[in-house]
Amino acid sequence: MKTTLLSKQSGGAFVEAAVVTPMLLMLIVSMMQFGYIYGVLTNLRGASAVAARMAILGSASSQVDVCEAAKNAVTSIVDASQLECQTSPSVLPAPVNSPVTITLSYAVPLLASNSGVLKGPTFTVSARTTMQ
Amino acid sequence: MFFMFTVVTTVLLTSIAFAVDMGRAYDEQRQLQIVADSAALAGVSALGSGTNYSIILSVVEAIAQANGATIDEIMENEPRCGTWERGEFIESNGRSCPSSANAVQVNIKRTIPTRFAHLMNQHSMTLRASAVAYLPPPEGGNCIRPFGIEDSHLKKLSVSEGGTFSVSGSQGMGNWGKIDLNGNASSGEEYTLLMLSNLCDEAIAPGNFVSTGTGNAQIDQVFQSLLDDLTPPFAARNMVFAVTTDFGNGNSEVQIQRFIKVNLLSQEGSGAGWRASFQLVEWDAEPDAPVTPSRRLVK
Repeated sequence: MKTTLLSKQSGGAFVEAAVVTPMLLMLIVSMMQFGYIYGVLTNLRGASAVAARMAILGSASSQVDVCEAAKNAVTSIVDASQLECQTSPSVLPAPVNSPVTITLSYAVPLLASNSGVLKGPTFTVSARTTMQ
Repeated sequence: MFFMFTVVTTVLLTSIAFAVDMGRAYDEQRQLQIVADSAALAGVSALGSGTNYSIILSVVEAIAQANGATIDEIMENEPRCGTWERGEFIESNGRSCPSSANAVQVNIKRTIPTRFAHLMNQHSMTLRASAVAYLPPPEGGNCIRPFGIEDSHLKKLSVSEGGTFSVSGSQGMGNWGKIDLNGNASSGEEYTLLMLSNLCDEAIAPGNFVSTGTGNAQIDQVFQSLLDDLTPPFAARNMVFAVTTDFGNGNSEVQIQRFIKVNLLSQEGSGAGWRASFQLVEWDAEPDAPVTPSRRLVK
């Protein structure tokens, strides 16, 4: 009788672990993924502000220069070569004292690092800054 | 066991609340600062002749809104025009933007709801960001310094470009050297400032009559300060002086004949006994046009 009870208890713990562990792992992976996406978003916001400031203050003379500045401003968690950069107006320098909008987009790889080992779906994050 | 669970859970939840809400507040603060910076830079771009407060306000609001701020967040503490002097923002009176204004201040206040801190009865956090942008005065490497050298003196020395010559307090009639380019030469402080930083004004041209400054005060100290600047492009190099008619005794007027570009080589003596040596770079120099620097941002 005792043996039966004990074995039942062991089985219960195993089932509990089997149910809880995937959920826990999922929670941890989700938190990591969310943190990564949020980090990328913060990066893009800062980089778009840097690029916009360069565009309006005349430190960068063309769209290529402005986008290069944005790529230089992101940290290593963003693959700068995959960063999409758009400016409005598309031709820079813009007329004096007119607004310039810099939009940066980045496809964040989901459930994988950006090392490219595991290619999965992506989630596109974008940030925009307007300055005049 | 239950006691331990309660304690651990409370500490854990408090830590999570702190980490999540503070992290979000930090990120939001950064974003708010970008909005304030953008709005202040935009506001200062609209400064100029014919600008009034409502124009500045509309530009500030447009840019702040484009970056995700609301009108209420900006108007809680209204944007202000003012002047930026000696590292300080001096606000104009009320909703005014006088022609002398060279700076715009933007303050933004944002209240964000908390997530986990709700558990500790903290339902919201208030964030503030402030930025001041200003237009620095025009500057140029080779505008004009308020110092005149008599044309007759240079001709007498037969100095040519690349050659050297000296001037001293004891030569010529009475006190000479200082010229009043902007009507403030009687102030020793103003003379020193302009000698060290140039006066950039396109209205100053050959043929103009200018008053002479009196006294030898500051001449030796200013020359020494110029020599002491060892940072490229070196203040003592390529200075533009006026070449004038002869100075009279005491207060008088001289006429600007042309400009010369010189390098200051040395300075000795003090008071009326000052003596400076120069190298003539250009006999008939064209002062550079003033350069308007970019808007600058201070927080």
